[in-house]
Amino acid sequence: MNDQDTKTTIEKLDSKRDNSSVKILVVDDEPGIRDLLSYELGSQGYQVSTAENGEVAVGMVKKESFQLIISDIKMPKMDGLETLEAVKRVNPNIEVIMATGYGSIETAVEAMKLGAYDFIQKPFNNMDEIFALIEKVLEKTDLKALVAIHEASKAIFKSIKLDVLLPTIIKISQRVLKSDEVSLMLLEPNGELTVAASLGQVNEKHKQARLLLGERIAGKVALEKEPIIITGSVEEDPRFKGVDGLREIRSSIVYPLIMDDEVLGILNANRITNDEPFSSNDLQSMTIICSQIAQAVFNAKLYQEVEEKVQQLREAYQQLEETQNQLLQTEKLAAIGQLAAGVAHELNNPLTGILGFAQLLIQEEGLTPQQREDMESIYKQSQRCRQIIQNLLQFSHRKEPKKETAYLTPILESTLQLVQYDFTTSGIEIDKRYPEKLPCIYGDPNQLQQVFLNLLTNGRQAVDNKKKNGRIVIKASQENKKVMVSFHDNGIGIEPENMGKIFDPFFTTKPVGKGTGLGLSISYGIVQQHSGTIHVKSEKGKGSTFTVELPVHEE
Amino acid sequence: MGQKKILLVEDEAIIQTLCKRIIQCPRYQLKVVSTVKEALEALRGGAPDLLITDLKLPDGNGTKVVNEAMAQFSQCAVIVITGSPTPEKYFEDNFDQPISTVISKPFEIEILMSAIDQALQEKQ
Repeated sequence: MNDQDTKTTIEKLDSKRDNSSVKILVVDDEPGIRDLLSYELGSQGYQVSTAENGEVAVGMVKKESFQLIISDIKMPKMDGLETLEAVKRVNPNIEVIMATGYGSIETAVEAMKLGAYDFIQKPFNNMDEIFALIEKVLEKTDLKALVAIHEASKAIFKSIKLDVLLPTIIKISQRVLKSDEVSLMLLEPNGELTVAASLGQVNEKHKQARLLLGERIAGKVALEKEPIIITGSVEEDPRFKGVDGLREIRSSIVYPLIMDDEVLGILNANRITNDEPFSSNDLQSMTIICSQIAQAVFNAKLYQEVEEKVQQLREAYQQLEETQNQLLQTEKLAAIGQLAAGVAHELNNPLTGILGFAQLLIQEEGLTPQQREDMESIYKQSQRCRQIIQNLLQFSHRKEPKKETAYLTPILESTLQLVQYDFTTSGIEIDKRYPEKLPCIYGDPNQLQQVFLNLLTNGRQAVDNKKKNGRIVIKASQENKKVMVSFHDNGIGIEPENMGKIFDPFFTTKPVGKGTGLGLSISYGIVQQHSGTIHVKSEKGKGSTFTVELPVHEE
Repeated sequence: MGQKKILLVEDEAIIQTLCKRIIQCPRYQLKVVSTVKEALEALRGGAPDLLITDLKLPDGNGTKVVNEAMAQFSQCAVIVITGSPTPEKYFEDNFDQPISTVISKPFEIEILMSAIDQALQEKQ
């Protein structure tokens, strides 16, 4: 940057190249040639610098970035070929045109081998030819930049995931724009611009400054959808008064990311070590790269949205499936319940007759012992029928729960009292792992006791069938707005193929006469009427855990 | 102490026969009908000491008979026999006055016998 050019200029540049941004260095030991080329090229609008020998030229190339060097071949100290090699070492992208006198064609060919773009012959009779050649050189450099941008674009589209994409974009932009700092801000749904990715900020303080700078200019850029280049010291710009840490920024460019006329965000690049201010060429690169970035970000955001939607769908589907299963279970229960109720009702009257007349007969005095024994059998079996019918009716005619505010611990305790004696005499250990106080629920203590009793009885039978050191662990806790009570046994477990059937009425694996197959389906119905759920985990041979979930009652 | 009059309202032949056997006793005078219409007619003929009725009858519900009997004869005891295993709620809603005894089918004969004895004693 020139020292005189300390005034900050904010320019909105159009992206077409103009010659004033093209820097050409003329190297010749003859002042006349230097003056001539300075004048002629200057009149074409190029920025022309001159050097009287190779050493001076190399020194200038180290400091400034020239697109093109026009160098004499025959020079004292360091000749043109040496100069060519030296500047190519400093900046391989610089194009060099060699100027030769008559009779030094061989040297010119040698120069081409060393990477010179072309050669021109002195004296310069036709300046137009030289202008045309320069134009060709510049087109080539433009093309090179385009190729770089093209490569960058390909890289930008390598990922569809935003969290992978953004760092890639930043790195590529840093390289293509030869910048020290790059940040990408995205427009959030709430209308705020926030930094989504950045590279190069040295410390927190600087980061804050960059953000402020970013916010102020970025806001303007996003609003007007026009890029802004700031050359010269940002620090002296009155709009950034009070923002520390901007001293070292030499040049800054902010470009809007636009997709279908919608601003997605901005890309900001700052040069610090690179003295070269951003030029219209950079702006041109930026135009291409930012349209690619906008497309990539747009795609990634779309992808992210779709992924979120898919996730939501997946969850909804799962929930639906669960609900459907519950509905199916409920429907199954209702259908079977209706059938059971009908059958039970029809059986009630004849069974009353059988039971009653059997009793009357037993009371007769003239029976032989054998007859009496036979009658007793009839009586007992009809009593068994009555029990089955009563279970059936209870299952189908589910009583409305008499709900009240109740504590779970006493319900659990009273249930355990019912089975304690039976369990301990059978050598089954009961491990109570629930707190003394559990949250209130709203329910029918009798019905809940029936559920717990059923689960305990099942657990006991599962343990009985396996081994002596049976054990039932009862746990209870609150999770969110639910109380969970679980009964874990180390019994025989449930066969995987039976898992889907255990809540079905009349499904039982117990021997004939030991279970009606109604216990769990009744429990299921009761828990459902309490707005709760009951589920099971089981591993064959290791045991089962039944968990009852009930909503906490909020007073 | 004269004979106690018992009115049995039951449409099932087997239950009728069973009840007749249970109530077979010179202290009781049993009349058996099998519909609501017949029961109401029988009530018009005079107050029974005890009404035993099923709820599900061919031409209606036994509650009608019970309410009618209680309205007319405050001294009449009532035993309801029902097929429903959970009749409590039903009773709260349908009867004008509380029922002393409810027996669910199928029942043990001792239960019906002691219920009859108790009902008649209470009403004395």
